Amino acid sequence: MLYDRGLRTDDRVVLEAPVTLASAVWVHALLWLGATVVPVAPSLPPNDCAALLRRLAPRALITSNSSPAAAQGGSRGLIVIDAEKAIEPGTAPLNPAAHDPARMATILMTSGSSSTPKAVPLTLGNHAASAAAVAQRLGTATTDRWLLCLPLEHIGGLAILFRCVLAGTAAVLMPRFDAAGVNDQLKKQRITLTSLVPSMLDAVVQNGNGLPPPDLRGVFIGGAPAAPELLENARSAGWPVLPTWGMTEAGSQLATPAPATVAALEFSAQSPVALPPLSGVEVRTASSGALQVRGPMLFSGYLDDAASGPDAEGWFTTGDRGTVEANGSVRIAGRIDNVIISGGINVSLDSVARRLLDCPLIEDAATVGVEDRRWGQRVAAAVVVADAESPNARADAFDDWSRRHLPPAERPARWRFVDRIPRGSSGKPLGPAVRALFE
Amino acid sequence: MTAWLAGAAQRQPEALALVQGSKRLDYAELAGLASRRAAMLRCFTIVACEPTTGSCSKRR
Repeated sequence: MLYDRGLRTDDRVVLEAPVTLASAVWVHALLWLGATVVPVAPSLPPNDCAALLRRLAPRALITSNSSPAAAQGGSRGLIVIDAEKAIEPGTAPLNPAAHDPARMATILMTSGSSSTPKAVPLTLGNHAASAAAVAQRLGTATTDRWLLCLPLEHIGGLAILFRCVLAGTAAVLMPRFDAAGVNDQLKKQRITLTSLVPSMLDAVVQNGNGLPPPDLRGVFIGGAPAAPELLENARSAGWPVLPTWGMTEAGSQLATPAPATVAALEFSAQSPVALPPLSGVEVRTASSGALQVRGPMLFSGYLDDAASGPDAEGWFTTGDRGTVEANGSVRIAGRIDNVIISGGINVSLDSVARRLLDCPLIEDAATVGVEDRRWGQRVAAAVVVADAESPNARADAFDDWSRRHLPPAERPARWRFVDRIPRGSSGKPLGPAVRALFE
Repeated sequence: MTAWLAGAAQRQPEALALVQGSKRLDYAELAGLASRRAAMLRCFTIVACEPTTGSCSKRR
């Protein structure tokens, strides 16, 4: 039996999305049709893919995955489309779906450190507002050229596609991140703007012998807290680093400095850098210490938990702690849920991890809270030692440094020395994996 | 976004839109591909009721 099963406006489509030109065309084609795009990592394990399909119940899955496992367990009636399927000759163009800012354009799964991702729907209007605000802050010109080397299933990568279309600029796509490749593309393609997570910046600066290419005028740094020392080193070498505060729920960035102000930014372990909000973004601090935001780029609630979205007045309570300056700039202190009470004192685990990077013996660090009969909770630190062969690389040396530099409640009670900190693709430490080091 | 892409293709059809290695698309080409892919998704038919079988799907 032959019958029409074509996709329609508002259909939900999961797109396996490597960072390729073909994926970018699929994204635009789906939006052209008026469908809702759910980009996922091509490396998503089959079980996770099946769980996602059950949860989101999409109409179609676009995949080049030859394994049928991805479709098993999916919703009944799921259409599986070959991502490499060529456009049939003679296919006439379709008129674009009517532009409706309220239409759900994408659903992104948050990539935070929690083990259960949240489904974040964003409308065309949210993406448009985000892209316009970023363009205004950057002073984007048609001569700009973005390097896209972040995953498309993360807002930091996907938003670049939207910014480019709004501004009429080009996106240069890198299917796989490698520091030498990024440096090569930055120079060859005369890239002016890019977005990196902190670990990428570190690798790129080291690989590039410290020298940035001459056309580069802005490198957004986000996804995870960046060590002040890393930002300072990169800037000293001439890299135009722009630390950002943003989130999937807001279509990418909420606050970042303008490129012209890079030289004046203050990177310090004691005080987080002040980030001016983008145009249209309002920020305030709730009594709990959590930052609240409001603006046209903000989503209207999670897909399966709308009550956790913005309140009736449009304010969304984020999971971040921080302060708002008189001039509106925001300083991010860490995650609201990353605080322990040690000996009756609130201790920010993010702040301790940042402070540990001041220790010359420590190259990277992540902290978790562990139970303690006497203190209630204590800080436990997983660290990458800068020189593991050094006779100073012993727990007592770290204890000694902590005693001299940290107040008692912030001193790690337990240490683990690791080759690398387990981090997700956005660069955030993976809380459960770090915690497992102390079990 | 659709309005943006259609608009960009009208305003600056020959401006570079996407680059990956030696592959390049200008805005006219990108809009053309997106609109024809959209047409393909809109109109395809399938020949059976199995959820993963169709003219656009990989046979498994």
